[in-house]
Amino acid sequence: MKAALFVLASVGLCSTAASAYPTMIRHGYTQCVSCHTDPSGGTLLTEYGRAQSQLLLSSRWGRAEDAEASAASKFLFGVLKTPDALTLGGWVREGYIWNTVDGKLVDNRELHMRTSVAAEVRVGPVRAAAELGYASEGATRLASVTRNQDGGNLVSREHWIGLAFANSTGLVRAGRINVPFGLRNIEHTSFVRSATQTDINEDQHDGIALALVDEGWRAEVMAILGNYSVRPDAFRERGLAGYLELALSPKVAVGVSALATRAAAALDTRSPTLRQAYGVTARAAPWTPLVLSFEADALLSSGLGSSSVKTGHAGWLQADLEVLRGVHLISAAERLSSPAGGAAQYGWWGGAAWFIVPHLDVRADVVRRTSSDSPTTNTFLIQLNGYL
Amino acid sequence: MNTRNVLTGFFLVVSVVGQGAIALSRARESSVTVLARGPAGLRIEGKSSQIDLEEDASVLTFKVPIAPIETGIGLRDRHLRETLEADKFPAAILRVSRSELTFPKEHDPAERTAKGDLTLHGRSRPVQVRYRAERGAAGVTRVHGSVQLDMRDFEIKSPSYLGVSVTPQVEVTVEMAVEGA
Repeated sequence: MKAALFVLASVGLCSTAASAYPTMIRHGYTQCVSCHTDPSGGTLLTEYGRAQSQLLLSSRWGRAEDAEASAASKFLFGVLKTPDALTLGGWVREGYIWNTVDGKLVDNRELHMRTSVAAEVRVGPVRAAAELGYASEGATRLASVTRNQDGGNLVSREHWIGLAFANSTGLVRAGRINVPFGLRNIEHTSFVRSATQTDINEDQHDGIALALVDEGWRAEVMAILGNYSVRPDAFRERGLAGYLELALSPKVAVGVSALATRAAAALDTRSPTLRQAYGVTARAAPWTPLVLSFEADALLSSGLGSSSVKTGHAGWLQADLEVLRGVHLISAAERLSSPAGGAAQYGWWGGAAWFIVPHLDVRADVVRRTSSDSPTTNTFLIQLNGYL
Repeated sequence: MNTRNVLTGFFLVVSVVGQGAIALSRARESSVTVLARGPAGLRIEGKSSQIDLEEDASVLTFKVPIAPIETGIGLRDRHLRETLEADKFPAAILRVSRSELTFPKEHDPAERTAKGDLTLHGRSRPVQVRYRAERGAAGVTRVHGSVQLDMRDFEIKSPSYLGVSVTPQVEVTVEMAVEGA
């Protein structure tokens, strides 16, 4: 049974998160809003972000270091010119996964990880953004729009409308929004993301958020009003979440996060539960090719009406080394002590990512997870990501 | 030692060595930092270690070549050089009269504001220079100076790239060690 649960957890890798790269701090980008339509990062790229994708992320293929971004970096390779007020994007991510339990191959198959389109409209101070995609059977259920039990579903990870103010240093918005908490790392099955339920693949909630950004800091707080892709209402969590990150220098940032939600029947405990998480984060590029990312979260879970509090913690330490322009070696160590109990779990990540050209990247990961009371699992995942 | 400890040790060593190397390199070099700001907290820093100081009986002249200033992104460096027309105006030059300056004494740093004359982009304008000078060991004086300027005063068009524009106000900071000042 435990082996089956581990495999199920590993299969969670099958729906990989939207793109967000906290490692862009290596280029002095401590904040996200220049490149992303979400002020806290992830998902849709602005025109400036698309250019940076070619200038800073992708292999050069002989291009001069000071060459202008080409039309190839633009939406649909520049074939379709969009008005300045409209930002469009789309993604197709395909992969193949192998899972082993105690060295025995128990699962291998092709994955349809992401197929979606997104748009953002800016009219004066008004911002509106939405993403619509398709998820295969059983995937991305927490973001589903349709409710087909036996097949694929339409999903919408985010859809919101907002008002920018103070020269766009502030944005207040309402709708389905990524939960502001912790590192917005793309490894959405990492313990820090899964245990805090704050990944950007499907853990968004409906609510009202206020994002603020300045030269030396950025912050976002959100009143969580529930995930309306989840039914019945008893499963919906309501509460608050937020983070504050300070840039100590252009290449060092530290932050704190907090989350407190309650649900009449939490998805994990199926009983009235108050869930809390408090975290610290750090990102640093001591040397431009190397970025270290760290997150440690305290996890608290208590039954409503009960005085007992179950505690745990999750930690993540990642090194991202860009060995050649566009080619990254990525390694991480993680630990989870779940409030639900059981022995501590450890994870080791090793892999490589190659941003081949604008619009196309490939990534391979090996994730080994061990625990004293469960069999060791290894997940091998290779994925190809294309975006419009 | 198990794998976990080896990995943890590796991360710690890389971090400490990296930060230490940066600190040491900064301590030994003169540096010029140009800080420009964009929308929504965007911060763009250009750095160079090249700064020349010429002295005569009445004036100190600080000369910063434009071309070596690096912002960390090749294209942005090119835009910087183009914006400042570095081919025609290859250096920024700050002249400060000795009479404007208070020189530090042993154990008595000087921290003042002085009037100077900055030539940039072929235009000269008066500027206020904030500085702190501290006499150290072996007759070496550490100088930290900063100038706030508005690009429009020097007929420089504020750079704009794909919807991201830089504000006209720029801060220039200089750190240097001067022998025998």
